[in-house]
Amino acid sequence: MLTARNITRRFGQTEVLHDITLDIPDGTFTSLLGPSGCGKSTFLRILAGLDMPSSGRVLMDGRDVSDLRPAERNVAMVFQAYALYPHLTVAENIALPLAMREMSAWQRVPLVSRILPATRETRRSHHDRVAAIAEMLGIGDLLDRKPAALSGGQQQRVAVGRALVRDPSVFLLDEPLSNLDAALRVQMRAELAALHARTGTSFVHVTHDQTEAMSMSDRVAVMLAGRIAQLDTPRALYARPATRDVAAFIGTHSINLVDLPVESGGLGGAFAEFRPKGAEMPSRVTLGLRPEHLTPDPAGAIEGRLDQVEYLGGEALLHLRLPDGTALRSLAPGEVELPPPGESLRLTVASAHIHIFDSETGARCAATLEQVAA
Amino acid sequence: MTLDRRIREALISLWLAGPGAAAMILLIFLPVAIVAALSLTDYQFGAPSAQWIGLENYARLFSDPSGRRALTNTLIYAAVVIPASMALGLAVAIGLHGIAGWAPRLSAMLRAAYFLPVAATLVAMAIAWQMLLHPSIGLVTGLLDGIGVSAPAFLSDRGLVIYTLAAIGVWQSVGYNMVLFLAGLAAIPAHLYDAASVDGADGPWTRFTTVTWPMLGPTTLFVAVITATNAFRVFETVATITKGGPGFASDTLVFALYREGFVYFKAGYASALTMVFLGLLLIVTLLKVRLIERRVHYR
Amino acid sequence: MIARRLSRLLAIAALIAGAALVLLPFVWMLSLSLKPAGEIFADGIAIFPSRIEWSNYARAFTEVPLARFLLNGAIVCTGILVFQILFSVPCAFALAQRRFAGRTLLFGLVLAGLLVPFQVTAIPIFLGLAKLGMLNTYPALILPFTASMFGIFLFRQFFARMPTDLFEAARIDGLSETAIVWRIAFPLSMPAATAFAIFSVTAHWNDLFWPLIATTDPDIATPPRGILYFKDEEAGDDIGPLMAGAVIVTAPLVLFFLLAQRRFTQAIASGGLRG
Repeated sequence: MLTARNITRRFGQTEVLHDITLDIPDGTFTSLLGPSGCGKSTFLRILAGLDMPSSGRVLMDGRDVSDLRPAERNVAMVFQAYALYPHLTVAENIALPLAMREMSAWQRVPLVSRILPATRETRRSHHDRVAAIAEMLGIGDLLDRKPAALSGGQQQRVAVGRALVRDPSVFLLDEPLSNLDAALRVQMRAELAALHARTGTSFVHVTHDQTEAMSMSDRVAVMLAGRIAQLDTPRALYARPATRDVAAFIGTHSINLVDLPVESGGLGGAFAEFRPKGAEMPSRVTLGLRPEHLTPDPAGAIEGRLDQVEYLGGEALLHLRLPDGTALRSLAPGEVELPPPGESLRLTVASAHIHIFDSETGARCAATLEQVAA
Repeated sequence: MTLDRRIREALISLWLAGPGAAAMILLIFLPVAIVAALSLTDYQFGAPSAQWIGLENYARLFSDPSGRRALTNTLIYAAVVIPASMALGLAVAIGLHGIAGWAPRLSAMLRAAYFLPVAATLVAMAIAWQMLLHPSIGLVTGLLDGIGVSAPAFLSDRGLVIYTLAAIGVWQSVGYNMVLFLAGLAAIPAHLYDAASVDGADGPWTRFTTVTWPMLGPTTLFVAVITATNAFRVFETVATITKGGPGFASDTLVFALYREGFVYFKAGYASALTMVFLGLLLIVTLLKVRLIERRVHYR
Repeated sequence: MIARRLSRLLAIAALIAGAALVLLPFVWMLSLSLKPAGEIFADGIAIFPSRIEWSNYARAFTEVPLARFLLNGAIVCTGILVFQILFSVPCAFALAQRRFAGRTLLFGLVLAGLLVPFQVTAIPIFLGLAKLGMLNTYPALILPFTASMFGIFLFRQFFARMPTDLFEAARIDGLSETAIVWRIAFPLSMPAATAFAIFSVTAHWNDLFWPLIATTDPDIATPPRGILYFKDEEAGDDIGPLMAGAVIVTAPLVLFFLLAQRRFTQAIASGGLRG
């Protein structure tokens, strides 16, 4: 288990990480998801030992490793731009961590290694391991090339190979896919997930791409403004966002956020048909409605004016305006019959799909809604 | 127990940067401080002790004819070399830049020829110059004789010798300045010339005054500073050809500091000469900084 | 059109004439080095010798230990370069890729040090070496130049442009910082290292100032110092061999320049930064 405890990081006056605590159980695939500048890369570098926290500790299996350098923590890392050594061949790139770990300084001197039998033995075993890993990653025929002669995808595999070769305690991936083109990204996504399944080692993956995070991970930690806003499974993250900001961040189509006052026991405006149930409601709430849950229905409870239609093929994104001026986006099946823009349109939403947040704090409310006939 | 990470990292930085930093202090800043201190003493190499004599060395330097001569000679030398080698370097660079388009091989060959003095060993070339200007066997002397002009005593005429050395200095630095100006010229975008010709600036001279010269501003400053610092350092030709003579007619600051310090072992006085030399270089740097501040709009 | 042709022609003629003038000392040096003694002192001027007198070159090697001078030059230049690299590369790496207290101050000192030419430090360094009894030794010719501010500056600028990821990957891979400097950063800085090597070797092969001060023993004289011994010793009748010696001393760098013009020119031009 890799544990970050109360990690704070300041650069000069600005604090970029605020008291972060996170457990990464063995064998899990955890993504740190957040927009650029949220501190996720800094946090990863602290886990790696490349950066030192201003305060807080990093533990591995309960042992404090805060004072250890990256190599002593035995972490592996794949960088966004791959960071391959341009002057070494693919084989040498992958073998370097092995040589550094398993050979003494004088054994690494080129001439000595040729003379000493034991060293030759080690070299041979390294060579075999490098070859096996390269074979597994499909780059077996590139071992003698220099990185500059490889495509982006091949470089990426070399970087993974270099991380894989020495059986690390944890894999750290810093936006490893963002330099690849779209098709390759989808393929590498699957390959990384398969790699995780095969090695059984913990993966910590930093990304700003929610599709990546959701599709590959067991757990996603959404990082916003230097804090972990929510740590959950991808499904829970989508179904039960803990805050308004998380709700706004997660989802292919950005969520509709509607600010409403809570009047005596009911909601106002277009949502008059919905009544709170269960827990207390704050005096002002923000409703979160995902466009994909808000669909046209002649019997729907919400009425608005259709402003504009973005036809996307399989579906259509509808832009509507409620009588009070609030803009709403709705996702309709592509084949749905629509009135011309300017006409009114009714929408329906299941009350279970409406997220309720406290307008003031942004926190999710425990209360739910039920629909009553108007 | 592992040492605190911050201490370990600091020790690593010390291990990496420390030797270089120590060498820098030991071989540059400490000596500069010692020279500054020595310049206020009457210390002689080998002497058991020395007296503080305040600014006496400087007073002597500026009042004694030989000290003043070293300083004025250095300034005369620089006053010839800086403008002449810059103007010639610029002219050659513009010429070569112009023909590079349609005669690239010739341009490259000529560029190599002009640059050759920079790569050559100056002591050896100084001897070659001495032979070229030799009163009896020199080629230049012979050529002048051939056209019926009696050659002046380039290297033994007290009034002429510093200018002869300056001419050699120009010969040595034209190629260097040419290379720097060529780089500056290559960086001028071609569309500026198009724009200038649209605006009616068509002749070579107008093109030069409207585009080339203003755009070369920063390069020119850079070249001027380098040429100046190199000119103030003139030593090899003096030491090889004239040894400061005849009399002290071709004495320069660095040669004087060598002679006073290491031939006559007057370390105190030589240190004062050194400080004046350093002062000249610092003035150049200061001028450069001033000019850069004023010319930021070129960047 | 004709006016343009004419001006082009004039420009070329002027450039060629200028180049001829620049090359004149080289031509004269070669010419004298190949002339028989009688011809050197003959009346009248002849650029080309009537017959080639190779014996001047043979005599240059026998009358003074010219081979020894060249060897000394090679030893001193190599020694200086090795020490300069050894000191400046790790320091430059720390300045460019590590954070430590005093980093800004150190870099400021490096920039200030760039402004101090060697001549300024000569007297105290001479004093120090004399105290240590090290004058007239190879170390006396090498050690004063080990702190190259230009080297630190050049490598720092180069390292600062390299991606930090690369060094972090190396840290993750288990390389010590020393190993990162010499196995990753230094091999990747070959363009800068080449430029620096050319600059340093040219400067020190051609230097007269310090060898003139630090050595009095012809056995460790560098080529310029040696050729000056030759010049001071010969009484005006050995001009052929003297010029042959001058040619030989000049030849290595000139030949190297002609073979690697671009690199050489760039390296020396970048050396202007040293102030």
